[in-house]
Formats: sequence, structure tokens, C-alpha cells
Amino acid sequence: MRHSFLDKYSERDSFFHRRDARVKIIVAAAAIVTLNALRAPPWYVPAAAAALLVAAVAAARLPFRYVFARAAAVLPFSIIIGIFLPFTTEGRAIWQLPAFGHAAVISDAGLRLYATVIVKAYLSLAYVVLLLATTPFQSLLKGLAWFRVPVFLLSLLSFTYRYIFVLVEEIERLQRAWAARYFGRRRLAQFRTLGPAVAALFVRSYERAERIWAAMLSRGYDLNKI
Amino acid sequence: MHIPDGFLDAKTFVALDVVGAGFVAVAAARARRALSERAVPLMAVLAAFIFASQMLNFPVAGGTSGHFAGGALAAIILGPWAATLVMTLVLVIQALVFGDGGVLALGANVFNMAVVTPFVGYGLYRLIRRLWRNEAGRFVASFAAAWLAVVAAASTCAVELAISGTIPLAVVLPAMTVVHAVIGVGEGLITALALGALRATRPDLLELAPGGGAR
Repeated sequence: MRHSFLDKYSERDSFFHRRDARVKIIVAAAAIVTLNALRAPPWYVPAAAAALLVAAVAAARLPFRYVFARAAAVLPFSIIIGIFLPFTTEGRAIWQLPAFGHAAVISDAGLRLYATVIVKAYLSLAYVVLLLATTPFQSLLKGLAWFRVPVFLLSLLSFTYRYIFVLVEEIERLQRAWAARYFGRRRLAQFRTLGPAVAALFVRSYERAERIWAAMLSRGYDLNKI
Repeated sequence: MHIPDGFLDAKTFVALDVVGAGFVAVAAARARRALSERAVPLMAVLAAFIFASQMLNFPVAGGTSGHFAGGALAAIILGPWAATLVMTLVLVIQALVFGDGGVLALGANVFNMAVVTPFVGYGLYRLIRRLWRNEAGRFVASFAAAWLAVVAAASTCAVELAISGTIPLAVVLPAMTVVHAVIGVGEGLITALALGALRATRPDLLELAPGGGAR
């Protein structure tokens, strides 16, 4: 399977990995809440969050490239959605785009806000990556149970996580099967393949759920334990 | 459409986290009452199904592509509340394990894609089915439901970004709506063709929703 999961490094051993999941949840949550509490936090908030993150990644002996590359997943959305901020924020005009006349004025405050939003988004995701790279998903769920997240939801998440691997492989089999039978990709004809493929995947998923339920019953499943 | 952290201000994400948690609590209670312990494998495997089917890409315009979202399909087959639960599971896993969408923005993403999408999709599907009862009505109803569900979610996403002061509404609403009006065509076609294929092969699975669902 090609998918890479954020908890790839969670089974390593370090000072950070050995801490209780609850501690790591609090650290990550505190950092993310602090970063996002204000729309435009003073410069030392993201600076401190970044310094703490670098220290934590080093203490956890995680590859820096891994954490910072995974967090970069947030950049395309951030850069595109935020692109209007420099133009629409009140402030001192620092640059005019000649092509658009005086409607397109970039302000210093707008540029600063644009950068702030991107940094906030990037660091917030980096803390999620740090949490998941030092905590196996099942330990994270157990930690969340202590914070009164209902066990029913946590069991659902635990199962969903388990079966994502299975069903992604199932859809890769479907894709391989139609790639082997179908040459070229005409635009509308594709939907004739995609629709029934979704239906087939749904039927297989539903039948799998029934088999799982039968297997769980025969082994004495108890909903209140995860 | 997954909003990362950093784009919503505190009042917006806190309010939507509360609203989202409320909807999820009701959805979870209803699933538990209707299905008891069987809810766990059924809802979770169907969440994994939605996750996997979101890997299906289709061409949009000018060389770009969109991917299937599945919220309306889930709502038509399972009913809107079960779809809320299933889509929430997908969004939580995406936020925590794949970094798609922020953790503080989770309530906003749940509201857009696990509440607005299923309820709008289900509502429009039932409305058109009531007015137009033949085979063509089925196709039109599922196509229109999935299309509007995608566009509605994109619009609420745009409104949230505007309320947060990130982008003016006059810019973000038309941009999000137009882009998703195009992507929604693919979503509508896949949803309608998938439901047609399901009716041909396993019509029994279309009766899962309370009140007859996708019949």
C-alpha cells in the first residue's frame, strides 16, 4: 500500500515516545490552541512554538525532514486561500499591481497577516505530526478516553483506522482490474466505470462489516472496552 | 475543502466545534439505539469505504481533477444521521492521521462535510423523489442531491472563512461556489450511477435508511 501514515515513527523509542499519551495530547493541544487563539498573535508566539517544536522533534529523535515535509501538506491550500489577504487588509500601501490599477494594492499589514496565517497553519499541523509520530494511534485513543471522549466514538475510530488499510487495498484491486480491461480514458465513459466501482466497493464493504460482526459476536465482543 | 488550523478565528472555530459535537452526539446516540453494538463494525467499515472511495479521481476542466466525496451517497443509502456519523469518522481520521484539515477546525469541517452535505443531499433527494416517481426521477434526484450537497458545503466553508475575517465574502463565496459547481457534476454523476448499479445488483442495501431510504 502506498499510503504513508503519520504514526509511522510512533513505535520508536525516545524520551518523548515513552511519555504517557495524555501528556503528549496536552502538549500538542496547548501549542495548537495558543497558536490559534488570536487572529494575529505577536511574533514571539509562533517563534516560541517553532522553537519548542524543534526541541521536541530533536528529543523524540524523529527525522526533521519527515516532520517538516509532512506539515508542508497544508501549504498549497494555505497559499491559495490566503492569497487575497495582502490585497484586502487595511494598512500602509507598499506595492501596487500596475495591471489592475489602484484596486490591487498590497498593504504591509496584509502581507504580514498572510504570512502569519500560513505560519499558524503550518505549525499547527506540525504539532499534530509530532503527536502522531510519537504516539501509536491506539494509545492516542486510550489517552483521549481519559479526556472523556465517549468510548463508543473511540471504538468507531479504532475500527475505522483498522479498515482503512483493508478498503484502500480493495479499491486498488478494483483500479487494477479496470486498468487491465480499459484502454484510454475518455471523459464521460470514465463515470460509467467509476459509478459501478463505488457501488461494488460499497457492497464489498457492507458484506465485510457483516462478517466482522459475526466474528465479533462469536468471540464475545464487549462494546465498553477498547 | 478541508480547512486547516490558522484560517478560522477563535469565535468561529469554537462555535462550530460546539455545534459539530452536538450533531455528532445525536448521530452517535441514534446509531447506537438503532443498531446497538452492530453499529461499531457497520459504521466504521462504511467510514473506511468512504475514505477509500475518496481516492477515486475524475477529470474536471482544463486538466484539473476532483475527487469523489461521498457524503450525499452515504446520506441517501443510510439516512442523514448515520451519514453524519460516518463522515465524521472519516474527517477525524483525516485530521489526525493524514493531516487533512485542522484539529481546532474539525468542528467546522464536520459541520460542512458531515452535517450540511448529508442533510442537504438527503433533503433534496427525498423532495425530488416525492415529486418525480419514475426511473428518470431517481437519476435526477441523486445527481441533483449530490451536486447541491457539494456546492452547499463549499458555500458554508466560504462563509466560515469570511466570518473569520480571512477573506471577504464577495471574493471567497463566488470562487468556492463556482469551482465546486463544476466538481459537483462529477460527484453527481458518480453518485447517480453508483445508486443505479446498487439498485440493479443489491436493492436490499438501499433500504438501510430509516423510512425506506433510497427506494
